[in-house]
Amino acid sequence: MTRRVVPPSAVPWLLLAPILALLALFFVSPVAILARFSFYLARPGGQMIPAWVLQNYTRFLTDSFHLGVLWNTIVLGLWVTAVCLILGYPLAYSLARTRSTRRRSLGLTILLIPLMTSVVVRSYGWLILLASSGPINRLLLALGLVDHPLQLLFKPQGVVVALAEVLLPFMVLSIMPVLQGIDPHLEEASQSLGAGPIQTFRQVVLPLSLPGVAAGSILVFVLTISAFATPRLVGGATTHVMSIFIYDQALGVFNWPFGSAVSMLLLLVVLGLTWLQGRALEGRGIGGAG
Amino acid sequence: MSQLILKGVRKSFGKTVAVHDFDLEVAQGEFVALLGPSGCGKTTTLRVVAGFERPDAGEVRIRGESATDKPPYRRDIGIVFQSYALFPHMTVLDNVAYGLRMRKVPRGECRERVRTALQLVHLERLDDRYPRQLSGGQQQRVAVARAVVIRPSVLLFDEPLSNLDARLRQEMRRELRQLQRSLRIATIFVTHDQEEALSMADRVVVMNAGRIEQVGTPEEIYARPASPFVLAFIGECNILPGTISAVEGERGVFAAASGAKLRLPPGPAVRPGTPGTLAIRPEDLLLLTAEQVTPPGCNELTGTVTTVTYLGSVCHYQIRAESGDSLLVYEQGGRGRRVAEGISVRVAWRAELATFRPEAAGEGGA
Repeated sequence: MTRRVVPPSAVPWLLLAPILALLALFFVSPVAILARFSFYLARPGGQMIPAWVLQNYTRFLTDSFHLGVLWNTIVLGLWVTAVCLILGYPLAYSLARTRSTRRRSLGLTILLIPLMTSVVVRSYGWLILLASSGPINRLLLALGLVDHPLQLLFKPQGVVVALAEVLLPFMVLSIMPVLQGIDPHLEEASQSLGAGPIQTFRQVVLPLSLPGVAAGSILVFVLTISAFATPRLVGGATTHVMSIFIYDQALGVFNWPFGSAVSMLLLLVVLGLTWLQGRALEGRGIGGAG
Repeated sequence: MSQLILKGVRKSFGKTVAVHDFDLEVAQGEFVALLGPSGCGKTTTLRVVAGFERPDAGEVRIRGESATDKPPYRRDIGIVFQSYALFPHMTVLDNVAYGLRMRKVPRGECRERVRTALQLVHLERLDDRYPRQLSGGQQQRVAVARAVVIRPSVLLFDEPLSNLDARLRQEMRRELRQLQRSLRIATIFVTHDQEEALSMADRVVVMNAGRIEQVGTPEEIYARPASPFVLAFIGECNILPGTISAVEGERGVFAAASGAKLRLPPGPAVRPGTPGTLAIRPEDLLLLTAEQVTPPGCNELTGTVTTVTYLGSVCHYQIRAESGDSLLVYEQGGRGRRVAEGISVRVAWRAELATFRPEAAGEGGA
């Protein structure tokens, strides 16, 4: 029997090989095909002609309606990020500082339930809640706060709430470990030096937790601008965001070159922000060492 | 006037009582060490003074004013933590200036006071460094400067030296003591290291299981331990069990369980038959070889040297007495003699240096 000798340096690559192959086959190659399509010429009726032209890109970047879609997407991303940050930071703080591990794991479980629920179920849940005859409107009417049902559904506000619900865990799980890494004695030292709770938060806790805030915010923003199902189901036909626009181009009017070009633009934004997130996490490493 | 008064302070966590009815007064400029094994409640007591823990009962008074209901940031205290707790995102200068900025001290005065504080701890050249760029000893100094720059009424130390290496710890002991003397701030120093407590403090509070075992000067604590716990916790001690066999005049005669008959120091009358223990410090024992004469008025046991531990300035001998007792003897080392293992020796001590404790009293004191 012969024994095959594997050089030690090859071992990590061998272990990574299956997942790398899978990613290359089902992720990298479709993206590469889309990248190539984005330079093709489109003909009405779904035809496309192989070429190397930039007109798909210039068409998007010079048209105010298309730029409006990009703007809507960014505004949606900022709103969802802001809501997640406002709801998530206090939650992350209380979970990081609780002395009871049982309370922490219970809190994390509740937090993660939306992630474990199918996007369809979650979105239809919101459809029921937000409908004009739904529980929220009925409660508002019963309390006399409004005279007639509010239009909650198929509006950007509904999309913000629904996305914030599912993306909140990403924010909390980015901030919580950073807060846990802050020595509680730092807050006590600050208090002993005469700083009240608000000053202590502003001067010590907040600055030291910024790497987590940056990482969580970028993650939530990226996931929001690339979300498709929730904006489509909860936002309805009136919500114009990049992902829905791309879908309509590719599968609605069969303009694959244009859809591909818009996909590439969205991908560029996402890659840029992911790179920034990596930088923020590096910053956390430096902060933690101090 | 006392800068700090603790009256009947009690604190429990769930069912565990961390501190029982604790009373203490610390005068202006006084250095008090809280000494005890881990979990004895010394750190909890410190945290009650700082305001990080609310006592279940009792009162904390700082400068004559009740502070029990005040939050930490209104208590006018300086605290140095074991981990130093320097703000990692601030320079040395900003760390030290933090308390002054919170007190809205004018800029010029602030700069002047920070400079003085950094000079006090010999760090004036490092004010633009970040804590992670400093050694452990330097971080410790910054923490001290940050705590004293606000001129607190009470200065608190929570095991501040335990993260330093032995040599640096010795140096910092002296330095902290000097600093505290020159600033004359009432100070509480929590430690489990008896050497630290004995060498630095004006008064030592020995704690065990949430209670005060003894309060006294370092000399009192060491020479006249008030309870068996203090005796066992502070320094080494030879303890011989036995009973009082007879009383001759003012003195009792102690019969060790091993059979040896030993004279007791003159003291309160004890009745023959009283069981108890005889305690004597290793450094009070004399090691005598065959050619040496026993000084008058001494008890004496014969035995053999079993182990010798030479430590430079001192030498430790473990002696197995013929009676069966095991005795530890400390002798001056240095250039002195070194008795070899296996040599027959006599161990002698002046009767006055030993303490007899009747068994009943021993149980009551624990």
